[in-house]
Amino acid sequence: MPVITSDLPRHHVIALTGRQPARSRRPQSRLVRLAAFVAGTLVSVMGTVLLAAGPAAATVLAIGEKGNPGGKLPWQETLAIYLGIPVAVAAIIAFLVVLPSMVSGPRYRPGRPWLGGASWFGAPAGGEAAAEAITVLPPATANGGGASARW
Amino acid sequence: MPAGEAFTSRQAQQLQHAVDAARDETGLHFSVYVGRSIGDVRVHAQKLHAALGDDAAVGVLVFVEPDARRVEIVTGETAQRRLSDRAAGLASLSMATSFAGGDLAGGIVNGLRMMSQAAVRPPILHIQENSNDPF
Repeated sequence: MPVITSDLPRHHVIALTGRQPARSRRPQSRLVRLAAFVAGTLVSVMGTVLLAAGPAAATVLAIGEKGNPGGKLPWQETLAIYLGIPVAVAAIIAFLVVLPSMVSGPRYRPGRPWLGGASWFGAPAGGEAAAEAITVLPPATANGGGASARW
Repeated sequence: MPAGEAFTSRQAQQLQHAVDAARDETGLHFSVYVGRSIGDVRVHAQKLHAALGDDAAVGVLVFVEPDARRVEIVTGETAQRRLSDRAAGLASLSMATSFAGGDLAGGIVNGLRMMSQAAVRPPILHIQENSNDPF
């Protein structure tokens, strides 16, 4: 006779069957959790919008039944809806576009002036002061070679 | 935008690592300077190279001038025997190509890699030509 183990505590199941019971919840992957989060957010946002729009729809119906088009929208509200909201949306998008470069700091672009300071990797102990102090090139440098390129 | 650090901390780390790796592989004293030039670019690069002091003879200085859009490689008296002007020229052209695309850090890292490959110590294949012992 098979033992019904679903309601028993875990250590009883092990004692009865000699096996570890299967875990009821599988470990969820990050992708699944992300999808669940996005879906939950969407549902809650849609719900909020519908709840907010409910009374408004009822008002519109009532106005239609009475044949009353409703009062004129005040000019401040008109301005806010038709100018304020688009400008706000554009500003948010522009901010989101600029944000990464604001965070990462100045970046080199060919043809634009160089905004970063000087950096010396593998600098000698003297640093730039030592370079400025040099008036005559030592033979180690003067007899050397090199190359140059421009872009 | 205010003048700030030229590279992100990650890029700076990569560049420092590339300089260290090139030094370890070749024994030459590699050094990379990115910044503005005072006066003539080549002369300024040579001054920076001379500032390496005792290491100048085995020194290889890469000077990147983003405003003048110039890259200069200065090799010391001893370093030039290991890193020929031709190899340095090839590396400088490769770097300039990357810089033209706006990638300073990547260009420098690639250039250093090219130079260290060109200047790497030649393997000694035959130490004892007349020995009977193959090892």
